Amino acid sequence: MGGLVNRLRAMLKLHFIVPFLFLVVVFYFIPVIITFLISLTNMSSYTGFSNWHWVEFKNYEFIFKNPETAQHFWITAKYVVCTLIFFNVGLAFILAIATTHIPRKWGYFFRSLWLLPRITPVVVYIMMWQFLVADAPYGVINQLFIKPLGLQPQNWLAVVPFLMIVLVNGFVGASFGMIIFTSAIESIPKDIMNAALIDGATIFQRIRYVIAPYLKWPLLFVLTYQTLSLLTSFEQILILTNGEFGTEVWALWAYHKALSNYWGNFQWGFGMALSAVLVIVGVLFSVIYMRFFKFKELVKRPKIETL
Amino acid sequence: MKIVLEHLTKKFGDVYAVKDLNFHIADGEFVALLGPSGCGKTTTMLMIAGIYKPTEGFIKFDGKVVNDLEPRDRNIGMVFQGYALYPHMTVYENITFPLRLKKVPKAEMETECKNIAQLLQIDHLLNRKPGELSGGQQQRVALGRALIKKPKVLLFDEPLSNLDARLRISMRRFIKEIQREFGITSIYVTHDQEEAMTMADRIAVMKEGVLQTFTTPIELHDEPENIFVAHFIGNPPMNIIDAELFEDKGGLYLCLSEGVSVEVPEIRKPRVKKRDVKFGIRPYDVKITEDGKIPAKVAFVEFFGKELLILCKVGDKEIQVLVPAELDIKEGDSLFIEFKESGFHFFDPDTGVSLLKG
Repeated sequence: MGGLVNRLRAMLKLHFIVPFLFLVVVFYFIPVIITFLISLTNMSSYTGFSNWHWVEFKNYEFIFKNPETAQHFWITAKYVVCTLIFFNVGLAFILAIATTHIPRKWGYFFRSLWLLPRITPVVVYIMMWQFLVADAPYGVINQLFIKPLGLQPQNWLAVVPFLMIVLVNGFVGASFGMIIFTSAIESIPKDIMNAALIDGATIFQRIRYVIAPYLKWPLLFVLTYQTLSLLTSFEQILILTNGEFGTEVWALWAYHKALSNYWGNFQWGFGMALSAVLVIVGVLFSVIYMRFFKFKELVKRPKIETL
Repeated sequence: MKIVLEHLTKKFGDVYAVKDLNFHIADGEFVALLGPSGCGKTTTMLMIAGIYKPTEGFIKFDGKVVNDLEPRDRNIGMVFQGYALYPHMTVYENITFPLRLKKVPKAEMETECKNIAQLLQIDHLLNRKPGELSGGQQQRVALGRALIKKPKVLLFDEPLSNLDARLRISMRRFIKEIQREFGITSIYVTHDQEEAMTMADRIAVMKEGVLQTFTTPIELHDEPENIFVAHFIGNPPMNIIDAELFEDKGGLYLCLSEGVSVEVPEIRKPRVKKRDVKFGIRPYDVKITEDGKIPAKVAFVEFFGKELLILCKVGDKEIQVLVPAELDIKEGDSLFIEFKESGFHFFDPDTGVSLLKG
């Protein structure tokens, strides 16, 4: 009797994770499984929901054989790597360092400023970019900067499409890492920051030898999280270029195939196969990051002994 | 190195953290900054370290104003309350960090570190990370990091507060020995009077950003400058009682309560004549006697192991008395008390300043 009560009591603890488990299963695991299952069919708006067939790995074969694949793959890789390094991590790090080394009030002000692109609705945000880089002779950049300098106005979207999609995503993405890094920097004990200065460090040496090592954990988190979100984000690109000028990243390709096909035939099966590839790549990256940052060592228990 | 603080003031917004601080520290001297939390002692230390810039006044090292010198150019070592070791570096890397920043050659760095580590008895821990050390070991590493660059000034910010009582006593002696051996001018911030009394050559007592007194531990205890110092130093704290002084038959008498008075010894007569005074007497300067001039009633008894702290009522006044535990005293007992001659203190009731000085 007592044993049963104890066992029930032990199980009670598990119930605390049930609500979250429910959300993860319903909104993450089940969709992944459905995605994977649909990717094994030829389901499309032509077959409808009744006339589809299992086609095994035909869709994946088609991805491999498709001449367009390489192009989409490279633009995605380039886009993710560049945005990640220069903005989501690089600019985020610089912003976090800069806003924690100026008076607190100004730090808050500039961080709030950098949050604006994130809290602005995507459509409005992209419209602002479209005003900035509108085709010649219009657009803020052409009118206010290029023309007064006596240079030739350009159709910027067509001239530097890759730079445009990196900038547009990077300006949104930087604030995420900025917040995470800032809170990590602010959580470094004041005494340690002072100790570094007294030990003889300049501000830059302190950043390199003391602050940066503290950011290992948050860096792992930001890298993993932002790689995944960049791999799957396409809405800014969709609205800005709709994949023109060679900016059709993998996720946008999947969207176009599955949900917005120009020919009207929505290839759900093929689109799902493209999405499934993204899921696999994302999981792979997460594992690689954890290995690279020695995740197990980061969560290792301390070995304190008494004197 | 000689350190001089002149009219040193630090304001945060409208609040004075430190107000018009003036004192000299001699070369090789060990000075404690003592005071309750929020008294400005740490702010003073961080100004000397160069972390805070003074709002007004000057800090001079060997006669040279260093107000605008960066911490790294001041040649100071500092030991913090929470040790402030770099958690991602090994003990070796922590200790040699100041040398690494100076680009000292590796071989030299290793010898220096070995010497210091041996002195501090931590040479077997060099490959550990701070998280794998006990508090006492971490404090030694912190001391090593402060000492390795051979600083002209050592600053201690409550370095023993995080250690347990026993370890604190041994580290106290250890720090004092090291300081003597190196002869480094040292400033030691603490709120623990015992630490300050045992370690320091001179003690600066601060309250609300203002220096109360700056003198030797003995002087501080025996001849306190004012009521705050008198009450703050010594354990259990000094009794401070409202009393009256009157002259009679050529002698000076202290009236404690209606009809209870005692003659003031010649050597303890106030320099300034006043009727209303605050009379101070330490609990261990009061004796219990069979008969005498001051009748008292025991109101409360606390057992301290080898001593009893008893609360006596003298008329309408209360006096705490520390007596040996062997005495059989119980609540409700009637007895007589007597004051040790050197134990009399008188303070101005308005300003709190000692009436014995001046």
